[in-house]
Amino acid sequence: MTWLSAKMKKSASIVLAATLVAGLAAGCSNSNNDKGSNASPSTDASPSASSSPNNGGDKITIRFAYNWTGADPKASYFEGKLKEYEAKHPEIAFKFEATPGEEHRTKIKVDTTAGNLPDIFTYWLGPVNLKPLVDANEILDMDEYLSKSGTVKKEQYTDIAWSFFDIGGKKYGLPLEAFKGFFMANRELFQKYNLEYPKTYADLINVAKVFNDNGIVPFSMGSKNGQPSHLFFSYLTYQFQNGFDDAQQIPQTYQYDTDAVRQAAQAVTQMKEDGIFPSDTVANGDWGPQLSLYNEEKAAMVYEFPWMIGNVKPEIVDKSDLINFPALDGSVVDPSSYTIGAVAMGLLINRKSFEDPAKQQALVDFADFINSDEVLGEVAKGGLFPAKQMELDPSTLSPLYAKAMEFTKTQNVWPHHESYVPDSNAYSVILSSLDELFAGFVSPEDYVSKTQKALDKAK
Amino acid sequence: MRRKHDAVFYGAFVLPAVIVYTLFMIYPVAMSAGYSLTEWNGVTAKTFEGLGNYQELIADGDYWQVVRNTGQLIAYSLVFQVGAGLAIAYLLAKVVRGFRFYRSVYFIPVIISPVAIGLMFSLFYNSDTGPLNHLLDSLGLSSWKRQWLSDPHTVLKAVMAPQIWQYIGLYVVIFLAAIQQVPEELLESARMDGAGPFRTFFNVVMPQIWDVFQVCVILAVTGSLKSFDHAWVITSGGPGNASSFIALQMFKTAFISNQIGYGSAMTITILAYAALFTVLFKRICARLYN
Repeated sequence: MTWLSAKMKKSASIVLAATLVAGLAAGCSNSNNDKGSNASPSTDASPSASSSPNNGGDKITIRFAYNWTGADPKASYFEGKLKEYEAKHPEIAFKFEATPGEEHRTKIKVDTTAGNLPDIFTYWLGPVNLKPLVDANEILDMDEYLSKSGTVKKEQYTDIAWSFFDIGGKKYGLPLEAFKGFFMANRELFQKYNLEYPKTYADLINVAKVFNDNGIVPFSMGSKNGQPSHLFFSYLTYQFQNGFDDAQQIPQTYQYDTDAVRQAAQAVTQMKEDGIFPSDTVANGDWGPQLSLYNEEKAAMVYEFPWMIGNVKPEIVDKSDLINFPALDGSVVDPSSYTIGAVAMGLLINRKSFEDPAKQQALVDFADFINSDEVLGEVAKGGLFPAKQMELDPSTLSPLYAKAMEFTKTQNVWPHHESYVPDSNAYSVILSSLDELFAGFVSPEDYVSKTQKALDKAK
Repeated sequence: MRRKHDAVFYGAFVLPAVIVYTLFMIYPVAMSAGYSLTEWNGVTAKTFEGLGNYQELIADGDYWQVVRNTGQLIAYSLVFQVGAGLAIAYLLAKVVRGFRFYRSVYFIPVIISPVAIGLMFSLFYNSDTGPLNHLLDSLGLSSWKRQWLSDPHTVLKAVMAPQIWQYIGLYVVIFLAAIQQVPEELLESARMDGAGPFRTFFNVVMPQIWDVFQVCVILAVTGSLKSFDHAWVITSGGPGNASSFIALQMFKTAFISNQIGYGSAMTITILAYAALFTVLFKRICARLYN
């Protein structure tokens, strides 16, 4: 009996262990065959969540990662088009990996580190974002894609648009989304208090005093992880002598500590002291909270960008005028002559995926589709400024979109510092130090010294 | 022979757990330890640095600032999570009517997503539009108003408060379960001997729940060492590193600044702090107990 019991135990244990280990192995095996299904930390995108075909038979799988999702006003237009494309191509098993906002950047970094880069994905510009991927030979030189594409041509984009994806003379991203900043003012609030739009810094101080006395924040500006303050800071810097020229030299000189940056940092501190910003720039930091103050008419002015157009309340759009930011004391560049702008996002292709003969044509067709007038025109309804040179149907665009396009069309478009700082650690120091500067944690001198140290380290 | 059969039988049950634990715990930790000896941006080839990252950590003022922040979080967690959790549980154990209601009320925050809690508190703290300053105004306490998240004197505590508050309920429930296991005869005899509530608590209840208390202390300390979500949502650890903790700093270093090797070294220090604390604490407790 004892022997029988022991034998039974042994058999049971072997069966149990084999079952569990086989199950584990099967689990691992599945995840290897179907890399995209579990590997990504991001939300599985809505378009394919219910309708994605199984990855069986001869189907090829294309993983596409993007961030026009969630609360992004472009999401419904873009994801609607993705759904249509997916339905028209049953021969491809699409895996849409959608991660909202800045989290998309982290998702791509994690995927890259894990050796699990999507086949095709949207990503930010500049050496700070692209160089590590280029150094690791992970992404495709776009000339290779353009040579296969039937519809997308190099001439459809300006040289400036291509320059944001230029690393060592090669272009590693297809410019997708452009942007230009614009200042808005609530006309009714200005009229209510008999105020004119400020043209000089002295005007701005007077306006700020009246608004503050009436419980209204003069100018909605927040800084949380440098959002959106880093764009405003670049705008301020470029008002001063050589501000833009110095920024363009950063990839060669690694010099962020310049007179213009110092003056801009000084201006931020002064504006904070003069009560121009919200009192708590961290709590009002990031895109949503900054716009929220303006949307709720608790702030009279705001600095905005196309990706927020769809989030501005229609009644607020009606009450808003686009204005030029006042000239700061000591400025030498007319602030109405330029705006901060660049290409915000591009489309990148995984080199290994492109070199897979089974996937290449599907990737080319899909990239062509994303860059088609049909898709870009549709997504423009949600606030996309296409980087591609194309005509948009004005009747389909929101009134604020049309206003912003009209207002900025004669202005020079100057990229912000992120386009030029060549090291991600240095730029993250700039972003976090901006939080400190706007919150009044550090002096202008300390801000400049801290950020320059980070660039010196990156040399 | 029997022993051998038993070993195989028991081993078969343990094996899957060992495999899973090794794959998902031991292996990643070993990999992190390996990465911590390299300079690596997560994409290009790793460069072996030896202990260079650790030497850099020792000289890194930002790292020590977040260590100090984490130390404060641990101290506040021990006082306000473990301490308050224990006190509330002891009081709750004496409640006859509405016991389940109170227990549920205390536990509800624990099951809410930390991200939702963080978002709620970031709105609450907003000194321009949030209710906290308005509340202080209406209570005639205008002098207490602050820019909660932009003031160097308040931001760290403002970020710590929601995470400490959220998990008090967890300790209440754990202590409550332990206190309910204290034999009624012991409590009865203490009462008969004339012991008041305080004396009963310290001389009868505490010795009975001592093991649970140790576990809660370890949970609070290790939980604080891993603190991430609330600070990330409310301030992203800023301004600067004013409200950052080690785990958050590690994330920013590894995945925002692309310094995987340096970030991994921070990870290993978190592991070392947790292990060191646990070993020392268990030894001290064992000595106290003996």
